Amino acid sequence: MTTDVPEPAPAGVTEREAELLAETARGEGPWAQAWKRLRRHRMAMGGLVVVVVMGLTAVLAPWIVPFDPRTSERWETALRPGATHLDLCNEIVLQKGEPRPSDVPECVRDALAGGARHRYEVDVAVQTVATLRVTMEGAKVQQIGEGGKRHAKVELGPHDTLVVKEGGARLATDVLEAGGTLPPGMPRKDGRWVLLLEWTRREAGAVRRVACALEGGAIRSVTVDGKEAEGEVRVRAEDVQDARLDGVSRVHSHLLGTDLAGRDLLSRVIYGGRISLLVGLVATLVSLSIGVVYGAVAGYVGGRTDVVMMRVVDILYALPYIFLVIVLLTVFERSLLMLFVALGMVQWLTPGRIVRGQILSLKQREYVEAARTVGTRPVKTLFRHLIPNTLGIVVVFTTLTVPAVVMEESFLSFIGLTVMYDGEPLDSWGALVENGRNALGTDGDRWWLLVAPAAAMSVTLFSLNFLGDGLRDALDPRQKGRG
Amino acid sequence: MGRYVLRRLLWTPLVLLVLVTLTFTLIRAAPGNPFSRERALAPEVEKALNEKYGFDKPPPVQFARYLGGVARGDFGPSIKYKDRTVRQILAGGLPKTVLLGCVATVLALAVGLLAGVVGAVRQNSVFDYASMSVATFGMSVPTFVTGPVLVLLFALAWKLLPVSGLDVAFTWAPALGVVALHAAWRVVEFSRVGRAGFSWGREAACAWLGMLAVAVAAVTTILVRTPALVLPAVTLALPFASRIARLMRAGMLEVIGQDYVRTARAKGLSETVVVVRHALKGGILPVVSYLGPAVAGILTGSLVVERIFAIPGIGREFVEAALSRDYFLVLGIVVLDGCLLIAFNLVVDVVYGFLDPRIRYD
Repeated sequence: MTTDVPEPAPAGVTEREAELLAETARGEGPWAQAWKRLRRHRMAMGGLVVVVVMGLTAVLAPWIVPFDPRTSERWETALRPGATHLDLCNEIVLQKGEPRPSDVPECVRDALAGGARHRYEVDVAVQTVATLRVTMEGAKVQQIGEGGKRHAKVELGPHDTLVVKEGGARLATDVLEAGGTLPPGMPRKDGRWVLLLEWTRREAGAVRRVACALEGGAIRSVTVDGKEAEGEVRVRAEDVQDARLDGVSRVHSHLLGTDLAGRDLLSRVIYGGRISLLVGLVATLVSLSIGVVYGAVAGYVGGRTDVVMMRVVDILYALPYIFLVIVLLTVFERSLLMLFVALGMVQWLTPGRIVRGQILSLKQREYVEAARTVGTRPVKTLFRHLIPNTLGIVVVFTTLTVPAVVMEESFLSFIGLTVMYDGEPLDSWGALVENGRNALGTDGDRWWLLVAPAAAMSVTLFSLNFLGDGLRDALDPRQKGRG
Repeated sequence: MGRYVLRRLLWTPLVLLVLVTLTFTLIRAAPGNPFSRERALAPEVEKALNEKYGFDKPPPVQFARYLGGVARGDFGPSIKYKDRTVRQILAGGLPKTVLLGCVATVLALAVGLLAGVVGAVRQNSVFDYASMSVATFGMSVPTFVTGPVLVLLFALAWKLLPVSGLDVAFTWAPALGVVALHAAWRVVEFSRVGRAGFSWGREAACAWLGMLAVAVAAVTTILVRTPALVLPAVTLALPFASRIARLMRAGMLEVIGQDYVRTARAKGLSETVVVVRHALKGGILPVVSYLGPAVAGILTGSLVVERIFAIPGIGREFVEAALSRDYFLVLGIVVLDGCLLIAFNLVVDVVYGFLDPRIRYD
């Protein structure tokens, strides 16, 4: 008899024992027991948390994503993680009057269209220009002087430039040091001579504030550091540290940088996860549906039908499936449905076998006999009694198959067989990894393009596998005695 | 045993036939034809091309002609590479794929078995936890993720290994040295134990270990002399080494608890002898039955690895062929891989039966 009120513990019993006694009095179902066992497995619980987080991110993707993953910005270079930039402008030109649409960023254009009063501020990095006197001996650098100072080595930051004063040729190097040589393509003379270079560099921390008042569809005034500016003020987008419209920051910050086409990587990774996890889940369900029914029928009917059905499974098992899937996908259109079918068809053999084995052993139980005595039709027995009792194994199989399917789908998109939807490719994690691999650069410059999707995928798969391990340990009937 | 092998051999052609039929049907069911990918052709040209490749005949006839060709060893011409036959392409790419596969297999076996055995013997130690965590990681992360990351770290950022370049250099010296050592060891043993203590069973068991040692020596030689092969082999081997380590450990743990192992220990034998001579044979069973799917996985894995590391093997050819609808090449590779797999599975099943006499084949 189960009761909700725990009986008071007899005297002389420890708290732990009292707890156990209360537990036995309550009587727990197998699922509750399994859940308890799972809770104790720390790594599996960690995996569960990660999987839930990933799942939520995938579902909520359209609302939490910072950028549209398919929009590429106008400048097509890859930005580092944490890079910031203005929206859609390479250079802003601010002056009194009505600006040309291409001279101001999008947020200002929208604000101007409204006609109300707004204030737009830009924090611009301060740049200084200095002249370097480089004393050369033939092609070798002897001395580098700036004003009265001497530099042993001049290193350029990411935004600095060295330009030859005569002719304006830009030095294609990041370092200039005494004792070194000039990069190829630079002017060369014999003997001792002097090369004049213009060094534009950004002062760390120094910021100039450019502000403008917008009203009635035009710019009313432009100030630089508080002083009214005459004429036009040009600001390069790459010099902008921050930009605010009415106090709200309008600078786009890319947490994970962008890819070569300028698309935000974080958004792409989130959307990629959406596709990967969706395909993983649905294809697993497809394979489960086919496999469970097939295996249950084979196990329940038994006899020659069973033998034939299992022979079919044996033959199909020997085939190298991934090749057939590739052929299938290249032959037919690569729609989402096709992918579910193709991947689901690969996996159904395993649950088929497992469920058949389970059914074979469960068939002998008394409740099956009882059901038959009462007159239950075989189909009903199958679906009502037998299949639900295989659920434990099926759950474990699911958690171990979803990562396998995710890997297969990523593999396919890695090869180039990405899923197409409305004629556009849906880049899942596999495709992102392939893109990242191709964009690495000779020194691994653009490492984030590879590392971000790789990390996302690894963590998710890792967690799924741990969760599967934990579930298997928790649901394994052999553990019940030891549990 | 003989009957079992015979029955498996009879199944083989059937499985192969199903495979070829399935692939052929799928390919021929494709909308369009291999020529429609390029610019639209004049009807006479298309007709001539169809005649040349035999596409104008009804599908069953085409299928029969293809089977006939395969029986003679002719896999048909390649549609993409117009000057070569499929057979030539396969012959060119097969050695590289096989080399990579063998190196990866030996690596996976050596590392996996060792880690599994040591982990089982020293259960719950630091080594055990560390190796099992690494194994779970290696198992769950796919090769096309680990490959590029390894390339990024070792080839691009730290510049320790080259990315490509596959001039394989090999010397026989170390492998022969191991053979000599093995022979010397057996001779010493024989002189110690004498005629009476000699048993073929024990020699066979030692021979297995010896062969593994020779393989490891050979692979090490190749890897040391051809640094460009290191990254692809490690990438390919990692998931399998992980699985093998876990299976080995589980198998060993199960065997170590058994009575016959306890008997061996009670007899006073040293722990090493107990493990190597008695427990290993039983504990290795799950690994042996995994070897079939493992080789299948290595073949599939080579698709990725060859692509990443630009190795001109048949894995890379397959994807290109499938994408460009080179029917004959695709069929040829599928048939070849199918044969390899089935043959290997048969060998594995036979070995398994040899190791575990309890198996009944019915």
